[in-house]
Amino acid sequence: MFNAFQTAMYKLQIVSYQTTTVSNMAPPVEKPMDYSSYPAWDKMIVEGNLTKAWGQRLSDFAPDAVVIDFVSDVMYPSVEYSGSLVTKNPMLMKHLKSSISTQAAAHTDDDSFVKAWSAAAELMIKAIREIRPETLVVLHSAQLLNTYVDKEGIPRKVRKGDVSRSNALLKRMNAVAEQWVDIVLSSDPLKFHGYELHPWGIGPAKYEFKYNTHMLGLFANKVLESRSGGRD
Amino acid sequence: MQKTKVAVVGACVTRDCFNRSFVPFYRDNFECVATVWQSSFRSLIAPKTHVPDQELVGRLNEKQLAYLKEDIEKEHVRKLIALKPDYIVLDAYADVHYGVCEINGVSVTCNPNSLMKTEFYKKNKEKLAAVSLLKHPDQLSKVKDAFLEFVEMIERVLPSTHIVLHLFEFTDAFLNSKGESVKFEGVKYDYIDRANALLNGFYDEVLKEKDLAVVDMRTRYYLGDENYPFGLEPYHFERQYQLDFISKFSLMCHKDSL
Repeated sequence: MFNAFQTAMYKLQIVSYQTTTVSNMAPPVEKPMDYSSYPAWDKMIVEGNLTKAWGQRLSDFAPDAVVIDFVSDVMYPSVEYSGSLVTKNPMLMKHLKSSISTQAAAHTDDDSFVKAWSAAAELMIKAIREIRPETLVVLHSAQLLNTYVDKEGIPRKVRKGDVSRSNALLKRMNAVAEQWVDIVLSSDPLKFHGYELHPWGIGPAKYEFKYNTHMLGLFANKVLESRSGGRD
Repeated sequence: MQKTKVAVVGACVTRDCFNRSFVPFYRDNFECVATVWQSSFRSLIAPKTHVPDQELVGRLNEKQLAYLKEDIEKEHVRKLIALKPDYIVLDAYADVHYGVCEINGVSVTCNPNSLMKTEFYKKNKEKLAAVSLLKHPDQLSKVKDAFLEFVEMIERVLPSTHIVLHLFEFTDAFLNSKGESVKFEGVKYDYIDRANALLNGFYDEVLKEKDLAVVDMRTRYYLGDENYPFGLEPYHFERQYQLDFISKFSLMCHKDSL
């Protein structure tokens, strides 16, 4: 939909979706609910959160590169559930609403949040390297959008939510994670907007289409550069 | 047709909207009769003071020196009142960015384009620390009080003059010569988000207490302009900004005249 031609060159598997790093690195929940009858997409996200299946999925798919971003970490809180932590994302709220809707975020102030995330992220990247030593670990150093282009083509500001606080956190987290990965993909210094006509509407991570093309181009270049032993 | 007389109490973000380089046709309807240039509201409501001319030497041009002397001697407010503008457009740039320092116990704008270039400032630097909203967000209520005092003074002495607050924000990216949007990055621009939070806090506080006319430029996102005649800055916007400002301002004047 966003990169029809270019994605044909890649085989993609989603290992973890809209799930926080601290939730991914927590133990599996003690009593997972029965999600076997859920639609495949719902099941993938719920199962990932409950059983922490990302490691097994990574091992089974055996990718050449794994791309990580920490957008979910700043967009969704991690909450306690059945002896573990899960992500209070839209899918979990759909299926586990009664159990998690009143749960407060496990980490509230910025410093304790970053500390918990940092410990989990370092562990996660170490685990990726143990599971797949030959896989390139790529960080998508993403930022949330504070602007969008409306349907008439006029740029507007996003006024809902505290994007600047989340972006300051993301910037801090990406700067820490950069040292642990093989490749960093950042749109800097270019600025991109959201797009009102995006198939999923206006959202802090619903980028205008040229962002997708630009970032995939960067990915291809950086992976090629890495495969050929870097620039001369 | 008689032109509407406008005075600007603010900085380039407002003054450039009344400049033919940016809005070639603005003089068809408006005449900018006075500019109180980059003076903070805390300075504007303070009593006058004096610094001898020989101490105000430095790397300033004639205009910068004239604005500085007006800010110290508070002549600008007297001139503004004497010219009886139909509209006075205000912005809070100087209070957020520059702030004030105390000279002879009187608040004067700590302006890097004038005061801070003088021998007087260099000699007395330690005693002339700037108190701006960016450095001292706790000063918000003092800035708000100064602003309201200034507005009420204008309302008293110029009851037929319309007062308009220009609601602007700093932008976080600019248009480069290739037509790309590029982020303002680096320590120099770390202030943008903080400054915008302060500006919005100021607008909220002021508008809670005072029913003021506004030109709200925050509804659209504008980029900075790499080719801006006065340099690349988060408050030197692409040409669309000044055109949209004049358009909104003209509409307001038209409604007022009905």
